[in-house]
Amino acid sequence: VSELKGNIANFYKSILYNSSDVFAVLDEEGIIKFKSDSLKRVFGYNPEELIGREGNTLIHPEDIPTVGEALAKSIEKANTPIPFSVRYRHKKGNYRWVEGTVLNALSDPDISGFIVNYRDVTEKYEMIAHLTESEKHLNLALKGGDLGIWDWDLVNDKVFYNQQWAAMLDYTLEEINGDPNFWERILHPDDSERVTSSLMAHIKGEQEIYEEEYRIQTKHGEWKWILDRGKVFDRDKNGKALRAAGTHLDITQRKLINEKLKLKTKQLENINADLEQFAYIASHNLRGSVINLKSLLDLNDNPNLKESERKYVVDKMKFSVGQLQQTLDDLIDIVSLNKNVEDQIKELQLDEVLREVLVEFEEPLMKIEHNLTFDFSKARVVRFPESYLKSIFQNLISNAIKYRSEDRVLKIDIRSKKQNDKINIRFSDNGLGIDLNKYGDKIFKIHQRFHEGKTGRGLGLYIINKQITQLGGSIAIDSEESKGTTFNLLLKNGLMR
Amino acid sequence: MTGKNDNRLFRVFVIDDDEINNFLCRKVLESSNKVYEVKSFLSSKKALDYIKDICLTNLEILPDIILLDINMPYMDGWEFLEKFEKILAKCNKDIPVAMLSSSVYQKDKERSAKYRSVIHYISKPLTSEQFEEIIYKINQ
Repeated sequence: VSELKGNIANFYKSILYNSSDVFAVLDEEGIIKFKSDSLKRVFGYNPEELIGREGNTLIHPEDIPTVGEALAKSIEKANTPIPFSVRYRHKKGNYRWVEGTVLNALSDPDISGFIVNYRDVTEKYEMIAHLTESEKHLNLALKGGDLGIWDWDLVNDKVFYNQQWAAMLDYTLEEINGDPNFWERILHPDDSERVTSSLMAHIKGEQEIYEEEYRIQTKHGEWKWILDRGKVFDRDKNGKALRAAGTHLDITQRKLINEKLKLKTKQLENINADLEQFAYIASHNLRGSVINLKSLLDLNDNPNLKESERKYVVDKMKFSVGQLQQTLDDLIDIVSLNKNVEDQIKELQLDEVLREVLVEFEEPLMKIEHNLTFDFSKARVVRFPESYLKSIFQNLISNAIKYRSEDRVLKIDIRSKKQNDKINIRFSDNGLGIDLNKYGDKIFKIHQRFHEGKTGRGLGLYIINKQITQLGGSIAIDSEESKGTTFNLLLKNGLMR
Repeated sequence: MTGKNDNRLFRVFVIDDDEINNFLCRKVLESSNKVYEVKSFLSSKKALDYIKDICLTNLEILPDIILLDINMPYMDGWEFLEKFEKILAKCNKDIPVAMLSSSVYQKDKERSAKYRSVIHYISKPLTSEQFEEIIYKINQ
């Protein structure tokens, strides 16, 4: 101060006038004794207007207790600035937010009161309020849109998740924070490679956007379908990703509906194909038998028919009626295929069902040398309609017997294993086999017979293919002529709920 | 009218896995006053082997007309037609084929028209009138 030029009182006056802070002194009763000249500039009042009035005169009524509290604290702790923030009425009549401190200087003989200084922080407060509001809106939007947010700091390999991200998977934020590999750990194993490599491709800049649908496990072990969209929004000058963020949307419901739609479409296609087949069989087999029968009846009416021939004609009439009966039975089998079998899905023990079916084959199997083995130790149970599983075993065993090779002892081997969420049943024999190059595309079609001199109905493989695919499974055949045939069945284990 | 030579034996092959149909065809042809030699095959493969054989050894006994079913096991009528036409091309012969099927499927009829050897499509049963029609077509 001693180095300053000019009047020392004017020097302080100028500082007090030009400061953006207002200084005040209150006496021990809280009465205003001094206000700095900056009051005029900051709040519009002349200091004289306020001197002698109560310290809380211009404070917003709701904030008066705040002032009281600050003063009380200040009385307890002398010479320590006590912070406060209140609304203060501008000369224009509007309230401004102010922040300041009050300091107990009662013991200072030059002051003997409270020193208060405060400044207008309305703009800062409005900004904070605005930000808070924005964040509230964002959170509402995220919540309303069921969006989870992830924010990945690649430099420190830290991932921030929002509340909704965790809640979507039944976790709390506390349970997942601090585990940088959390997301990868709960990804479905079948989706993991595809999703992580897509994400890395985007991180490396090889892929414009990252957007994947995949399954992820909730805290309770359920699988949810997630639509994950993200983008790197900060890279260093070499293009190395620094930060990426994205959103999670739960699309489980949509996936389920899609799944159902697909199944329904498939069923409709099946029904349509069956109707076409129905028409074909009706026109071909039924018509064939009826025409034969009619022609035979006409012949039988012919008085010139030789007796030996008449016997033949009557025999063949009986035969034709038998054929008609068989064709009708086949048609009934096909028509009953598309009933609501989903309702008949239940948990089945593979060995129990097979044993039941084998009882029906006791007699034919007794007549031939054979070696039948099965092993269901790797997958004992399947959720499937019982009538279908039986029919599948029946048809495959019956085929294995009918198309066995006379050159060797018949071997049948049946085994099961789990394949993701499906059950694989492998059924192999060492029979005649089928030339797949020739018949590959016809194997599972109706009324196809591939062996000369064998009288099949041409229906077995058609029916089991329908039974399996109708429920979302598949059947594949591998066969070599005069070596044998292997069927690989992939049964959908119940329906996705 | 059986063409160039009325006295010549007119040979008919019937190929159908349905034994009754083969019998009925024979009866229909017998009931007409023409002289036919009817040979029936229960399998298209056997018929094909036979034709292949006589193509090499005895062209004289090749049939004048073949009545062919479509739906047969192991080798159906379509597959027969493909192989049959190749064999005939080799021995430089033309044998007309009439499809004889219980199918009333338009698709089958359309498909058969694509084979050059097929001259006619009959929905079973065969009648003598229909057979006359076939003979008429052959002689045209």
